[in-house]
Amino acid sequence: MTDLLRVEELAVAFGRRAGRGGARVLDGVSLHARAGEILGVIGETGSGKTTLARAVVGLSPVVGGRITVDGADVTGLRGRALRDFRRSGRVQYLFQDPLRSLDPDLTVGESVAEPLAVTGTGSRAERAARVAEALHRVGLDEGLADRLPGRLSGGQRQRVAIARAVVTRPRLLLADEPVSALDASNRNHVLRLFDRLRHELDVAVVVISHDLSSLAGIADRIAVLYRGRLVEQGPTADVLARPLHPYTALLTASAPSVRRENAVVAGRLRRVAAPPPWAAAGGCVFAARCPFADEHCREAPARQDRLADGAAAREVACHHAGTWQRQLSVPAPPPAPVRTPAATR
Amino acid sequence: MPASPRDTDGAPGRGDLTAAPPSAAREDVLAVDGLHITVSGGRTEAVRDVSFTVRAGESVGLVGESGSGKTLTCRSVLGVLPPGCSVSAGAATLAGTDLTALDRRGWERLRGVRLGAVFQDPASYLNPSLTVGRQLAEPLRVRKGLSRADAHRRAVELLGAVGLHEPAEVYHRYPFELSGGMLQRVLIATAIAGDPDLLVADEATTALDTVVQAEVLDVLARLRAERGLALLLVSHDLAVVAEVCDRVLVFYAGEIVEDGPTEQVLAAPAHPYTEALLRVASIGDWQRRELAVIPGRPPEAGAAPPGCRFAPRCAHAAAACTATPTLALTDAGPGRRTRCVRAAELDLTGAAPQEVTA
Amino acid sequence: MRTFRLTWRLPIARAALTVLAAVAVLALFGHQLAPQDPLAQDSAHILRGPGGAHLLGTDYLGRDVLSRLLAGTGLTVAGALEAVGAAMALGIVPGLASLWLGRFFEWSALRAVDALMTMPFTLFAIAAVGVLGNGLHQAMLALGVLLSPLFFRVTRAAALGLRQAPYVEAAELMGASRSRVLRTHIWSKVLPTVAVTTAQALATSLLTVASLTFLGLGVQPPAPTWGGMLATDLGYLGQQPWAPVLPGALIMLTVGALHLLADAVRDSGGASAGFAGAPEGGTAAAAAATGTTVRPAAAADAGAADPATAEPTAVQDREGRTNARISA
Repeated sequence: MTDLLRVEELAVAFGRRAGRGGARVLDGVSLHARAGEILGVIGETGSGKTTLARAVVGLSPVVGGRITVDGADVTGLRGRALRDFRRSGRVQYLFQDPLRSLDPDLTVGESVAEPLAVTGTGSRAERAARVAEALHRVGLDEGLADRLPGRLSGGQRQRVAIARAVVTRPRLLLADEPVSALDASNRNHVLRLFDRLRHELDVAVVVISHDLSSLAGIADRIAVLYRGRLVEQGPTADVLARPLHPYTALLTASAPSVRRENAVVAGRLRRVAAPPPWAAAGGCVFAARCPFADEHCREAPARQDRLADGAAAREVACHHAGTWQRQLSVPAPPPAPVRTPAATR
Repeated sequence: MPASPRDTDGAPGRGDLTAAPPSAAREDVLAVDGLHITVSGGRTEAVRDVSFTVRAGESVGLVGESGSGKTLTCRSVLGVLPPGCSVSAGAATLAGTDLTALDRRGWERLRGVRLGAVFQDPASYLNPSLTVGRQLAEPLRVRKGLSRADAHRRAVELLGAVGLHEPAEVYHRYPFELSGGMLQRVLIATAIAGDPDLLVADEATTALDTVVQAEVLDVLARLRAERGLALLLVSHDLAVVAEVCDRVLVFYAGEIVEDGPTEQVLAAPAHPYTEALLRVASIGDWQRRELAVIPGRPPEAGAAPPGCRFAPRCAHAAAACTATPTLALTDAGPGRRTRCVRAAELDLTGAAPQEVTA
Repeated sequence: MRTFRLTWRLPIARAALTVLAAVAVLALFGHQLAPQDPLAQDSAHILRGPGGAHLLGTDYLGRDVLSRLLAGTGLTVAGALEAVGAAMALGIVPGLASLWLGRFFEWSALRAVDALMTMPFTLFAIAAVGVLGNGLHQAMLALGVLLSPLFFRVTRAAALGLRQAPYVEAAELMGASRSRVLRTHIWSKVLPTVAVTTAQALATSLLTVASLTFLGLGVQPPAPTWGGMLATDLGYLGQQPWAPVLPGALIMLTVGALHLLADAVRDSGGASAGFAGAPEGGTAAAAAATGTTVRPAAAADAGAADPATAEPTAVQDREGRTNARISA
């Protein structure tokens, strides 16, 4: 199966000094997604996960690397070419906040039909039929087509946004925090919808989230971003159950759970002392927060390396991948009273 | 200065960071009794018959979907109900003070002194043009009459107590120089500056990243252990409540449907809605699975369907569930209550039955 | 569009629109409706009180006051419309364009607007008439130029926040052209604001027309205008103390109706913007509990109708996120 989305060594920088040594928001990011696959991208605020998705649709200034969608190079498209690529509707981008990404003055039907109206696809009747089909596909009643978005619930609004995205029959769907504004039940509703759509439409889905639990259930593979670098990627269950990067381990250990089991581990993965003075200079991006960092980590930036981990292909960017876990098995310091203290000193 | 008796006998010594183990006498800090809250000028009832207590040093979590009444309940305790909302019946008592009878001045004496609060968006509670240290020290000078130097020293202590690195340095920072997690810690420091009896955290970690959220939750848990602080935590995420709370109150459509010690509720829920919440919550084993959903939608705000309000969405619903106009919260074992008529006959599955003893 | 439907539901708006419709009829058909020739002088019946052949009496040349009022409406209203039309053309188009045509155009347009805003209305119009010759068109175009910054700023402020709105970005991602984005997404949000401004600008320019004609500028006697009538009536206060009330009342009624209409449109727009500001209102209220200071933007303007207030908050959000990245 060929990769529908291929991102190679992507670098993005904003501002006037972009490309000339300005601070890079993304650097050396390589990932891919196949048709019918769900790729989860996870990272904290400012890790560059939204920038990554926006780069694919030409909303972030790319200063290096290549982005290929369905075999076509779309890196740095401009003007006419960019508009034609967008009009083809092959890539759809779902915004974080469904309420603000829908025009409050347009009815649901008008909003969903907009991508078709923009390109002048079909007659009015044909468009109406495709809108009805899209609404049906995302599990919304056709009767909602005359409503304004303000009169819908959060879950319904997100479905309308998804209907607007699938109405063009896209090949690639990029969803930026699609469920962060929803409660648990609605969140699962929407995630299940993505799962169904990728089977029905054979579409590649990239779901961006800061919340592990919303990805764990549906993503086939997961990519972990930290400060603009991809620190780890691989099959979801493998990555989350046996993290190769200390940051991934910290993420999984920090995720709240209805079972109390990982509280102590999270504390051991945090750095308890102040970050070392060399934190900002080159080296591994996570070194400043990594309890296992040493001299080597500060000197050389960690590269994405492919690891043969059993049958699954995994990539990790860590100088101590595979060895830091041993330090965890050393007897722990005296257990903390109730919970491990946070970063106190 | 506050004139309530509680302040003269309870406060001394609690300000010291190192001292003050959780008090042995577990008196009720907050008692809410039969609380009803109406919205849109009294036309609709959004919260019905809510009763619970929070003891000293205890942490209680309110959990439920948006619109379940958990936030209104918590705001009524803080006296900051949105316009048009009011307490129509019932009482809330904070360590002897009747909150429902307080006037504006009374609230001012209470808030920030005996009652601390932290909310979702920390940046909007801080003045961007003043350093965080100054905003923390000023209430100390005004409310506690500390000198400038003492207030500074105390503020730095507080910033350290909430787990900020180099608190003396952070003191001189402006809000925009700090990250969301750091701002939330600053707000927690502000909230505990007056040595409150009760700290209310309303979705305080919802907007934070996973790692930061875990750290802030740890800070709350530690403050509770060190200072005997009672904690009322409101969250839509059962997993967050499970991480920090001794007791959990499950809200649905304006009512408490279940109340009990967290471990017991998670291991063996007594209400089908709690079971449903557990099914959709994050489990933490990272295996691919069919994601569970709760069918249907919660009733519209103010709609009061007869009997059990969860019945239309409940897999275990029976005729008895909707036979009576209202259901009472009944005892379901020691320290547990549930609003389900079939509680005794149902055998509901919990999240981690093997870990009850842990 | 919803704003206008909501506006129509307000009784005050209906009353104002009724008055304005009546004024419009007078403006269009005033000459035909006038019972007598507004210019015909009758030296036998000068300064007569109301009654008989002259319902509202006659002026110092024996001209019928009612006919002059009716006939004068057209010129006065046309003058005001001309000024506002010019202002809209000069203000709205560059206002929207300043958001898209690059930094240089934006900078120059803003400076030009700043310069225009320093000029006083009436003096500038007098100067323009002095240079361009005495005529209503010259005076009104000059007034239009001076009113255009109002439209420029209002349009720009309303559209500024929208340019970054996710639904506008979404439309751009669909490959929608700039004009399509303007038509479907931006114009409907800007229109209520423009409508409010238009009503207010009409009121302002109506008053300016009246003042200019009162001073005898722009219109050559004996052509009747409200302002001109007011001026001549003031000369005969001794004989007819009540006479200036008639043109004065007409001016007040029209200007008042315009202001009421503007308020009504603004209030309906505020009602629709209310839901977006509601949660912030909640936080503001809750801030009291933390004992901390609330950022004024969140507290005071939470429910404000003016889209311009939404913009600084958005900027702060963006900055907040950037800073979080630096210090995380």
